[in-house]
Amino acid sequence: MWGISPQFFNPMKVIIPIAGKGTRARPHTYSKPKPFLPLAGKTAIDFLIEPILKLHTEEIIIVHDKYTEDFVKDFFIKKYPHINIIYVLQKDPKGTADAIYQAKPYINEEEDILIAYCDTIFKNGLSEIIKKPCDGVIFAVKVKDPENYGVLEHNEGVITSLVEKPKEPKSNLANIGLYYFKDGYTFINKYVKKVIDSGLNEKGEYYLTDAFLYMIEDGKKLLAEPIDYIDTGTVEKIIQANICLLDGKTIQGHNVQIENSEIGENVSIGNNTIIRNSKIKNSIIGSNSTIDDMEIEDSLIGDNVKLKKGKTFNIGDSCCIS
Amino acid sequence: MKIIIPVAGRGTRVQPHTFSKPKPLFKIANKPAICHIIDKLKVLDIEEIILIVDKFNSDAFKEMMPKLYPNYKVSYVLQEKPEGPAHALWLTRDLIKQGDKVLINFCDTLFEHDMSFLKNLDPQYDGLIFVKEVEDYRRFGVVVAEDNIMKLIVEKPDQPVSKLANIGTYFFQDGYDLMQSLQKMIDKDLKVKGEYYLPEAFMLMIYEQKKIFVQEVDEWLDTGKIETILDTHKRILKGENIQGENVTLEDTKLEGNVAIAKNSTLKNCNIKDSIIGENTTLEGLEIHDSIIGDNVVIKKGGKIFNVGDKSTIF
Repeated sequence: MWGISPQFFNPMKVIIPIAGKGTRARPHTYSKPKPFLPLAGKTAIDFLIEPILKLHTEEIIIVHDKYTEDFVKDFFIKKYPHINIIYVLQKDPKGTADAIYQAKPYINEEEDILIAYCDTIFKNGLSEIIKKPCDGVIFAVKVKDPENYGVLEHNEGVITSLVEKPKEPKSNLANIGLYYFKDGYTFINKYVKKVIDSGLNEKGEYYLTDAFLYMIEDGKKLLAEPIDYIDTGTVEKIIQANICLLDGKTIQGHNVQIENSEIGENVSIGNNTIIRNSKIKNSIIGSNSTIDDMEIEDSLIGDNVKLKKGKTFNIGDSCCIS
Repeated sequence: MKIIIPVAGRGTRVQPHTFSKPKPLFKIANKPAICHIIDKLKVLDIEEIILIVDKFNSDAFKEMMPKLYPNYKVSYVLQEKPEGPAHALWLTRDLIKQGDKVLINFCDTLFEHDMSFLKNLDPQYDGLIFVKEVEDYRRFGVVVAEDNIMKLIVEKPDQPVSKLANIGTYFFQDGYDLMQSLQKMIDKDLKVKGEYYLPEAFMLMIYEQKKIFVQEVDEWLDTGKIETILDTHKRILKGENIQGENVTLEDTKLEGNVAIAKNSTLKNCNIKDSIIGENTTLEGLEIHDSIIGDNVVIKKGGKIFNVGDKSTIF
C-alpha cells in the first residue's frame, strides 16, 4: 500500500481499461497502444498513473485485450515494478461495461473504485472531490460544443441524466471517462451486471454509461465534477497536450545528440535520438530516431524513425507529411 | 489437395508495414503475397486451405480470406506461441486424414513453377521438396540429394555439401505420413535451440525409407524482408508499371516497376521501382526503391510529420 495517509477513505481500487485499436492515433497505435505514446518526456499513461499513486490506491486492475496484453505487461513490469497490478483479459471488444465487468472478481465489498480511461490526463488531485458526500462522481470537462460529447445533465451538480451527443444539450459538462464510486462492489455487481443482463445494444456493445442511468433511476447521488483535464485522444490532441505540459520547455531523454540544430519551444525528444542540421518546434520525437536536415513543427514522430532528405522511402500505413 | 500455409509471426523484418497488417497480406504487384501463392496452387484442385495463424493476426485473416477466396474452404489453426515451424505444422494434425494429399508453403516463399505435375507424381515418391540452386549456400538450409532423392538436409552448412536451398514448399502424397513423423519428433522432444524444425521430421521420414523427390523450381521469390520484397516486386513486374482502380496521375512519371494500389493520387511525382499503397496521396516526390503504405499523405516540403515507428526516408 502506498500514497498519502488515508483518513477518510476506504481502500480504493483503480480500474484502467487499455484495450482497443486506437484508430484516432494512427499510425502510432499500429505499433503500440495509445497510452504508451511518448508525451512530454514520459508516456501518456505516466500522467495517469502518477496522480493515481497519490490516492489511497490499494491495487490497479488493468483490463487489456489480446493485442495490448504483451505491451502493457512489459511496460508496467519494467516501469512500475513496485505497484500491485492485476491484469484481466477482455476477450472480445464488447464495450466499456463489458471491460469493467471483467474486473468483477477483484472488487470486494466496501471497496471504492476509480475507473480511468486513458485518453485522460487530469492535473489536479482528486482526493478532495471524492471526500464529498455522494455515491459516485463522474468527472467532467466544460466544453463549447457539448453536442459532440456525452453530456452530463445535472441539477446543481447532481446528475439527472447522461445523453450521448444530444442535438440540444442541456449542459456544457462532457463525460471524459473518469469515474469514482464509493461502493465499487455494488456498482459492478448490481448496476454493471444489469447492463450485461439486459443484452447487447444495437451496436453490439455494453455501455458503462447505462449503469450510471440505472444508478440514477435507483435514486443514487452522482456528482458531476469539472476538473482540469487534457485530452490525448488523437494525434493532434497529443501534440497539443505536449505543448500544454511542456509550457514552452524542451525535454530530452538519455543520450540524445543534437548537432547544428535549432530546437524551439515545446519539443520532447526520446532516448538515444540524434538530431542534426534541423529545426524543430512544438513536436514529439520518439526514441532511437535520427533526424537530419529537416524542418519540423506540430509533429509526432515515433521510435526508430530515420528522416533525411532522400529518395528512398519506407513509410508505413497512415503516415502523413504535409 | 489440402494446402497448409503457416502465417503466424510478427514480420519484424518488414516493419513498419507489418505493424498494421500481417506480412502475407502485404501487397506485392497489387496483390497480397498469400494470393501469389494460392493462385499458383489453383491447378491442384484445392480441397481446403489451412492457415496456421497467431492471436494477433487471426482476425485479419478471418476477415480477408472469405473476401479473397469465397469459393474455398479455409480452416484456421491457432498457434498460441512460437515453438518453431515443425510445431506449427503439427498443430494441423487433426485436419489431415490418412490419404490426404498435402502441400505446404511457408509464406515468405513465392515461386514460379507449373505445379500441375504434382497431380500425376509417380506414386513411388512419398513426397517432394522444392529447392533452388543458390550461390551463398551458407545462408540457407540445403538439401543433399542422390538421384533426385533427398538424403539429408543441412542448416547453413560451412562446406558446400549442396547448393540446393530448401525454399519452404513441400508436397506429401499422404500428409498423414508427415503428421506421424511430426508426432514422433514432438514425442522425442527433438528441439533445436528451443524450437521444432522440419529437417528433424524429414530425417525421421528418410530413416523409414520414405522417398522425397527433390525438385528445383523455375524461380524462387523471397518476401522475408524489405529488400527482398522490392526485388521480388521487380521480378514480378518485369519493368511494367501497374495501377489499381481509380488511380489518378497528374504530371507524374512512372519509370518502371511501379505498382500503385487503388484510389491513390500522385501529382508531380517521379517514381521508379516502388510500391505505393491504396488511398495514398503523394505530391512532388522523386523516389525509387521505396515502399509507401496505405492511407499515406506526403507533400514535398511539408513540415508537419505524423510518422510512426520504424518509418524511414533517406
